[in-house]
Amino acid sequence: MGAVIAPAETSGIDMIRRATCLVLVAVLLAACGVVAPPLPEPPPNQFDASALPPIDLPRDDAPHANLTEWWYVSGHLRTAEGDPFGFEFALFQSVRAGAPPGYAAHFAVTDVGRQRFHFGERTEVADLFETRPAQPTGLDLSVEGWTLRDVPGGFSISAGLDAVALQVELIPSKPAAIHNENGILDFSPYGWSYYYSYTRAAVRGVLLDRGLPRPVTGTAWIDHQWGDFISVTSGGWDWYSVQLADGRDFTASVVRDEFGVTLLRYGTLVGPAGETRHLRADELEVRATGRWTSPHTGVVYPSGWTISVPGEDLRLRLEPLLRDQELDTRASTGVVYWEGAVHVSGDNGEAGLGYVELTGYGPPPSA
Amino acid sequence: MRWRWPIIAAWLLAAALSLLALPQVGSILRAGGFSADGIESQEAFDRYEEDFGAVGSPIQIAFHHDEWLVTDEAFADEAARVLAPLAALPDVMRVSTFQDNPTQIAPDGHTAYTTLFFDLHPDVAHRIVPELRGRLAPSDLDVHIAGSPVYYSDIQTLSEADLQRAETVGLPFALIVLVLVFGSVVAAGIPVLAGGASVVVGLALLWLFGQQVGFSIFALNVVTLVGLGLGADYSLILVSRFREELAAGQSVQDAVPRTVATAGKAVVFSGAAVLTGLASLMVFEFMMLRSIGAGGALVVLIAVAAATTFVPALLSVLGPRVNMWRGWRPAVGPRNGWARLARAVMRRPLPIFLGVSAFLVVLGLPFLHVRLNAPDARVLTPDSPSRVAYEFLRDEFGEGHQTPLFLVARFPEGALAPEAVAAQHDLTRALEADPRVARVGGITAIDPRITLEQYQLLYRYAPGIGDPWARALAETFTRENAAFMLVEPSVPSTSPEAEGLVEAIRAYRDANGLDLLVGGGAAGLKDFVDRLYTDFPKAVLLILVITYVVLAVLFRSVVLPLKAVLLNVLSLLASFGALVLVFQDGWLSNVLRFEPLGYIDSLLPVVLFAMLFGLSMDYEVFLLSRVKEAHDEGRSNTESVAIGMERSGRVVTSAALVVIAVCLAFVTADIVLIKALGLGAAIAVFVDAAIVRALLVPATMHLLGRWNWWAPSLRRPRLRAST
Repeated sequence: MGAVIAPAETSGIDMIRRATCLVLVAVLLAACGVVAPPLPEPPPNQFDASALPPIDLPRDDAPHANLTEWWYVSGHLRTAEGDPFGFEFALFQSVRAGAPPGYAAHFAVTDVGRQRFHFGERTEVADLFETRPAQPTGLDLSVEGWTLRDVPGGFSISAGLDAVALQVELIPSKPAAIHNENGILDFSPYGWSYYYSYTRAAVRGVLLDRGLPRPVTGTAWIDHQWGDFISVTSGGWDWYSVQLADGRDFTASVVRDEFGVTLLRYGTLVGPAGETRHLRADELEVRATGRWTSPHTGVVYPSGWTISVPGEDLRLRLEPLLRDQELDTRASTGVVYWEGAVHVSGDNGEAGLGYVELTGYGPPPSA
Repeated sequence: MRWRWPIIAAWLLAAALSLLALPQVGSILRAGGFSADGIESQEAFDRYEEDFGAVGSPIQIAFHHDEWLVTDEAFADEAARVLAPLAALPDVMRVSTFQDNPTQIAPDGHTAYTTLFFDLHPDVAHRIVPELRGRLAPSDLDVHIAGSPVYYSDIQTLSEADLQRAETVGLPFALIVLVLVFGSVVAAGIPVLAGGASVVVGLALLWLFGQQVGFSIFALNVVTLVGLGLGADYSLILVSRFREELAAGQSVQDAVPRTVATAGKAVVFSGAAVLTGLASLMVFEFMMLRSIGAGGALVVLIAVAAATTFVPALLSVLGPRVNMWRGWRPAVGPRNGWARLARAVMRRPLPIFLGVSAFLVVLGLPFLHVRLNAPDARVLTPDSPSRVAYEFLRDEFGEGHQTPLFLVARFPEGALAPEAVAAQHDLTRALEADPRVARVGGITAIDPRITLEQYQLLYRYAPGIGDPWARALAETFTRENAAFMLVEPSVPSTSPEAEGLVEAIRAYRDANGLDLLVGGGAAGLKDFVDRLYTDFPKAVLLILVITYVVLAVLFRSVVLPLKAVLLNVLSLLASFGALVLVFQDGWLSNVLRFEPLGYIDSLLPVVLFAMLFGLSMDYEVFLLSRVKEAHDEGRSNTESVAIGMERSGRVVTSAALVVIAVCLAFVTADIVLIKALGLGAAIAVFVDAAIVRALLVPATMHLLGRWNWWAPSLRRPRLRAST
């Protein structure tokens, strides 16, 4: 009640008024006089990597309660007839305080033989009153029927579009590769994340090709990233994954800010037995060799790359198996990006397959 | 005398016509009336409507099922079925379902509400409620209707019921007192008739003027209480004087003019004092108080008019038959008991003055710990539908959910510019860290783990915001240069903590140079109370000065009016102290059937002071008039006091009993404010008539001696007015 009396004025009328109402005012004042405590200083909100525990697998294959989390599976398949296909399945989870988790999923199949690209997206908000453990012990996610689950020794995915559907199991043949040595990436101001990959997993299952079930086998790459980071329309990243015929796997990432300035560049080289070597920015060179303009969105992407790791005497050329592998997912995750199957060849006779993801080139959602 | 029949006919006709208008009075009454220009919470609301569009009047339809979850199809289907006819009402401008807005779903998952926004001004939105309730279909769900319009609809319903009950109880009570006083049913019936006519005509005029200006729901009860009390009171004084004149051997032709010239004159002065008090409410900017003041002043005029025209006309027709149907024969005229009391008091004036003054001060002491605030749903009975709905939603959603604060800000550089996002982020974080806050809504309240830089990145490319949460919040909480935030307190809006929260936010705003206004919930209550008590001293000053002048003219004295005013303040403070004990601290709450709020409705001291200053002054005025008359006859100061007491004692006691009977009838009200007004008025009149008049006035008159009559530059003609 500290403000029942008007702010001080200097007029004589005010003096008379106050004097006249002395009794009442005094009584009211006596009832007041309690100064309200001010708003408190909020606790600091800063990232401290040293406070984060190390990655613990397979427990950390399961979902977390961090702001953003995703599982990316990409790979190359062949049917019994030898027809080549590429596929991408990504499942995103967003957790915000006081709200049920939100999910999105992208699914794309590159029909290399027919030079066709199919993609789709789905979203789902978790049931408000679903009882979820704080730290789930397994992986069992579903977005409007598209699923990602753990199975003995690996994972399974199931997703479908009008023309194509996929139901496969993925069994990693190498241990998880922990990126950036400790598995933690700091890409401030966007945030931080944990990041590891199963760089090589045997794929077996069925591809439903225009209604026709076709057994498929192949090799997949599984990425899992989670942390308190946000995904915005500004900036972006180029991500490369390569599986070489000699058993080595390789990944490189270049993260850019909104002005195209590189925030982070790193890579991981994984040996045939799963041994990893972290590649610093100065150990890695990436160069685009071409450009492609999307007929759908007008976005211009790099297309074709040369990646060099001089210290390993490695120089690889990556060429898209199909130019048009653009996904317009503005209805789910709000972005347009390119993610596609590539063919890999090296100066020293290396050969392999890979996947490349390019984000941050596309228009903002309002465009 | 010549116009007695036309006057009686005119009054009866006016009363009959007024009876026709009575059922319509409710239709002109307005809810609310607590806003005023220059109040920050009102400016916040205006700015919100300017920047974000009209809000309308929201009404919540709440659904609950013990077993079904809100997300169950059966729940959703049933809620939609119940909602359909309500949403089809023509004034519905927008519907916000719980499916659209998950914050409208309670944490337990079994309760949710949908909000209907009506394109109606908040002052009149309560009129839609009966139709809304009429359209409610029976349902497997528990359905409640909540919101301000529903609250005010219940206030109006209860207020009308209170009024009916008060009239049913008060009139017979007053009649019994009058029969006991007069010993004649006819004599007793005249004040009841005049009081009734005053109320009926007053309410009809309220309806008539209400076509042009707004009258508060509460004006109804105040008009009735004042009209009934004063109408009966003033008539009693005239009837009493008329009977005295007849008993003294005067003819009817002589007695009526003499009654009007003496008692009638006193009534006019008394009416002027009461009217001054009530009219002082016009200094407030709130429609609620202005309308009570205007309605009260109107009914005082009618009561005075009835006492000085209708009653004399009736008396001249009745003549000696005024004493017909006597059940018993009380003596007419003065009695020596009052004179003996006065002389006894004047033998030991100082101890009595000090003792009684100290007693009244002690009675007033509880007012030192008064807590003032605006009323909430607890002023209604526990079974009032809107209170049940309010408490149900409060229990399901938390204290502040229904009464959030809203913070409306403007940022010249744009509401989503980095600087604006930083300002909102910092305020959000500070609020989220405050234990008085349960939840914050706004563009930077997505998740506390998101840093300021991340928020700035999220909104940097607006309207191309990629993050769906951020996009949805930006669409809800911002418009170009404007932004708003919702703050749900974790404490009741009427608590000191909530008030402190409002002050803290405003202090933060000032310290950080933000162009931000705080409104809603506790801010609206605080601003109302603050403005009320900023304006209250003006009203008090007005009442004191005008009352002093009126009494100075009546008594032709400088000191007597001053003494009368000071003693009156003392009796009012005693009444206020009692009200704090009863309505804040809960004494006798079981007997009086109400739930103590823990504070006093801030309107109560203001309305009571305005209403009672003149009313409780009456008895002292009647006494002093008689004292003055004796003094002018050449008696000593002491003898004048004794004679004045003797001559006025009976009629003053009777008049006070009538007013107390009427006021106590209002204690049966279900609305706590009305109950408190009735009790406060009864206490103040009792203190004034029983303690101030009988003990303090004689003591102070004796102590002041010749100073009582000091008026240096005024000629002092003989006073003819007496009771």
